[in-house]
Amino acid sequence: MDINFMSQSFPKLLSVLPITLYLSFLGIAFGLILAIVITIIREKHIPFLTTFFNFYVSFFRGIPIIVQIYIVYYGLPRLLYSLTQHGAHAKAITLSGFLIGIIAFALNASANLSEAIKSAYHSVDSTQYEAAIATGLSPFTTIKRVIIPQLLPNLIPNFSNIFLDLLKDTALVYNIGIVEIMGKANILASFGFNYLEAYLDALVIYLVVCYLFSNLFRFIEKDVRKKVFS
Amino acid sequence: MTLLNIKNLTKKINDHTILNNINFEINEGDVIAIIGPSGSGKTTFLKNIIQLESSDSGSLTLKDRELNLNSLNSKDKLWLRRQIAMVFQNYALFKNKTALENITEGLIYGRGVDEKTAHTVAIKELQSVNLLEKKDSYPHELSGGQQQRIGIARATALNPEIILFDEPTSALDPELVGTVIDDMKRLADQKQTMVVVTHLMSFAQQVANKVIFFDGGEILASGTPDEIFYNSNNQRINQFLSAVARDQ
Repeated sequence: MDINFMSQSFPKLLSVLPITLYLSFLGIAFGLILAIVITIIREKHIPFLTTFFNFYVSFFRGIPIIVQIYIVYYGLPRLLYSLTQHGAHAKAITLSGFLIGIIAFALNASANLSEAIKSAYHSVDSTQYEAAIATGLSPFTTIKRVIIPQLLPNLIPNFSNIFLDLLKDTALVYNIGIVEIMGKANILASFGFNYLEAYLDALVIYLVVCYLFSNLFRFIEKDVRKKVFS
Repeated sequence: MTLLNIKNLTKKINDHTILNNINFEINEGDVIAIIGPSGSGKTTFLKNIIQLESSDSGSLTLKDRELNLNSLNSKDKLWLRRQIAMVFQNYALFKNKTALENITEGLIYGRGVDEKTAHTVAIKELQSVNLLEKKDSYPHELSGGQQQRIGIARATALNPEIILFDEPTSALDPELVGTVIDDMKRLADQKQTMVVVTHLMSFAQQVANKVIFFDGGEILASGTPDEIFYNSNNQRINQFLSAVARDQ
């Protein structure tokens, strides 16, 4: 094993860590916004939209993320191009791999997060909602002041799992030309066939980053639970 | 003077009739006990009064305002819920709020009362149920009896026209039942209008001025406690009362 190569390539891999983090943060942030909308629609049983989003969730949870990335990568520009042919003001040509990666991750995260939010929502006893409504609170105030604070501690562990999965899945966007940690490792290794060394560097970075985030979420969950229930 | 008048209330779930053409009237200061077998529609009736469950047909008149129960908009429902309060079987205190906050929440965010006034009202209500020292406790730190008394304080703090009680003592240990009953008797003495679904026949006999017997989603009989408990010729009521007496 070429330890010298490992120590030299480690900082180079570390330099692209921000790309991995941007992809993860933006993917989960847009995914969360979409997931909240999906959950509200599904819980309100809005005709047609509920059926559509039930299918949407099953679809994105049922196929591998790499297939989703490819479909968005190849499909979205074509869709936008087709729209421009029909007079829409879309610029398919300007879609970067980075943006496509974020869209693919956001779609995937939204499906998983909507299930996590739904499960956390149902973990709150339904009489909590009834009691708040019976006390004269509006449904919106009830959700904001009674339901959301109680569902948060139950949501955080699932949110943490989904975020960590997403962070690790960013390794796949190398396939659509984005140079993040895994992409950089492949590039560096290809010069001298030091694949094992490069991948071990990547392994250390992923392991440390995931460990840090995992502990951060655990701390947040503990803190939120304490603030909400005592 | 009639406070609340419900006419022809019907509630169905998947073509199954839960409440069938219920007519109900309550005067100011009345304490009405609703008794009957499990699954007869008693809780559903309370939830239809306060519109925690929607009704299929019927009308409700409260404070001279008539509402058509199958076409209520959100403003009507909110208005109705701000005239009536409810005490739940499993207490249903907000788990993320202290005892004091459980009481102020409805005042501030339901009634629009300012925080200082809400705090003063909540302290007074906690004193009246002898639980002021528990004002900063969360529900999980309280016994069942204490939680239910906070639930009663939460309801009375709203100064509602009517308080609905859904089997308020059935989840309590027998030794804790008395404290809750005492609070309810105090409210009855203060002429608070109450509708109480209960399995405690002694409460219905001693505190209520009217008893309603529910069976199969219908009001089978109504009258004074004496009429229902001692002078009823209805076989179904007598059968129910004998079964309850055997169990108690």
